[in-house]
Amino acid sequence: MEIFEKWEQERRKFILKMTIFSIVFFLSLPISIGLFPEFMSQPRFGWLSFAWLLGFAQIGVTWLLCWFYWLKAEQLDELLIEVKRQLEAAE
Amino acid sequence: MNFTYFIFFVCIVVCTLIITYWAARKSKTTIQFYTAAGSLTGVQNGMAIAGDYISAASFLGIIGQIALYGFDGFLYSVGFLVSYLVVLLFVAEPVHHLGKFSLADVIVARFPNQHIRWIIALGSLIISVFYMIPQLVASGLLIRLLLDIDYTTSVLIIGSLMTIYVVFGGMIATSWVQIVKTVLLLSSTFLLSLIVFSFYSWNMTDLIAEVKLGTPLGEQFFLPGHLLQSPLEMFSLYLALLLGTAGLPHILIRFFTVKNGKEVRKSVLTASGIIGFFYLMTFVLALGAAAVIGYDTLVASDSTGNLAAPLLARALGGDFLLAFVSAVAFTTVVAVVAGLVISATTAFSHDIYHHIIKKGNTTEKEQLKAAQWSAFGIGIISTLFALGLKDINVTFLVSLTFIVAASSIFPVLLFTIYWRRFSQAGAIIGMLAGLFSSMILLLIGPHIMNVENGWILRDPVISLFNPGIVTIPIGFLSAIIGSYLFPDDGEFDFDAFSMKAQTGVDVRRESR
Repeated sequence: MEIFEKWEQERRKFILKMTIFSIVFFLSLPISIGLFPEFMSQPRFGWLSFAWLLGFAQIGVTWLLCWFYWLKAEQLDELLIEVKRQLEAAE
Repeated sequence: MNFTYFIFFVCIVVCTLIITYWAARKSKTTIQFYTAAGSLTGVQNGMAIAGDYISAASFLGIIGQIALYGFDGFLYSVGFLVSYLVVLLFVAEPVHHLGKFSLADVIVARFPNQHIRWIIALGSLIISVFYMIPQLVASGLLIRLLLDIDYTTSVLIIGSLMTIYVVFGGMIATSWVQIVKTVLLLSSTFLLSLIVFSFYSWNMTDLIAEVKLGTPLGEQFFLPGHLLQSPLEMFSLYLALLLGTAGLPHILIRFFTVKNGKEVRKSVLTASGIIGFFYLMTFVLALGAAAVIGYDTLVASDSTGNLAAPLLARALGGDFLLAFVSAVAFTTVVAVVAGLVISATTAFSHDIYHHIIKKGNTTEKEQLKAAQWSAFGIGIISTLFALGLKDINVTFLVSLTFIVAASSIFPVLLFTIYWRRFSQAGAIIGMLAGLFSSMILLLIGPHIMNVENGWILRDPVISLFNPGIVTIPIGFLSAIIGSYLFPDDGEFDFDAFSMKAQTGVDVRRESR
């Protein structure tokens, strides 16, 4: 079914982008602290070092990505209604 | 126990028992017992997930860890939150669409086979019970400290409450106890954070300066590396936290309690919002504890720092606030263990009893009876274990849970949903390899083999406290290798399965 394939492709592309971004972004915290502890823990803004900033950013970015997923899923759901309609018509 | 404590304590017990009574009248069928008949809204389920997830270890433990060790404690809370992204992106909706009551239902939807059901049910059971016992032990010790009643009595009280909720109220009672807990927990931590800020006249700089005075780490408090020495250890812990949640049966079965994919998404969004907000507040409370109370007093009252939040409450709001926070801690404990009892019950009575022993030939009424008896049995056995393990350090079981979940259930679940060539043998091999490698590595690791106070008084064979970095790849690789070595015969209609997993639309209706 064409429209379902479109749905699947779009979803897959979206998830793939999110996954790649997430792996890079979220693993950057433990990796960077492990590899460059000096650089990461230097206080930059008052007591805030890059390690803390990145830590807090992870909370914000998690929320943001969840929100993106929500928006995308709403959009995909519209396509899905069409898929279901066609399936019923086919029966 | 003084009168204020007693009032709060009785209030909570009475309130949760009323919920259970009300839920008991609605739990007359198996679908209501196991999944509340999908009657929760997304927001309610999200609150229940948060209530299921935020254990006393998070509430009290993380505040203590940040107060004592600074940055490294914070890393835990971030890992716990980010793991919900993994849940949302990969497993939440497919689990809802494929399963009925238990996690094994989801895998069996692809491999309809008793062996698979056995292994997944056993894995779920092991994870839930291993997670429940340290929670019970920790809460017994904690309630003893907070309410001044002895260990045996506190474990018995918590053990019998959790059993009563699940036996009589099933998933409905469990969910609502968890929702009440989330509301109480959020309001109390929010209140306490505001008091911390107002204590320092809303001046962050003063607070930070006090923190540096209050801890022997001084300026170092805000630098990483005090709790987890090696980068490898840190990475390993982080990885297990990130992937572990998506393999925890008691969280995953919560996705059966809502009615469609949209509500599932709403659940995860709500849960991650609450959990993130909560951890931000624990951070404030930890700074408050380090500043107001100071390192020496914290360590003197409890070397693990678990009493940081209660001590802070007493310092800021006197006995009354301490009584309130203790009551919240108590609710936190019962809500989490009740969630674990229902998850273990589902694995035992739905998978092992109904599907495997009785081969699916039981009536609705017998199933409900079996579920209630299993809940009763699981409640009693776990309570007895907790009573027996009082003096033994069982905290490593918590890390074991996350590591086992991340290296056995998570890979199998992920491949089942997304990988076309995944085979039955791959699932079995992956699951067992992940399970055993995590157990063995923990057994020969420093938690158990330890020259000072381990169960085995020798040098550890491997030095990692968190062997996730080794066992997670083992779980994934053995599932892949197993699938290539022993592929399935290829009659399976993966496209239809995938469509059902991702959309809930079942196109195989006619062919069956």
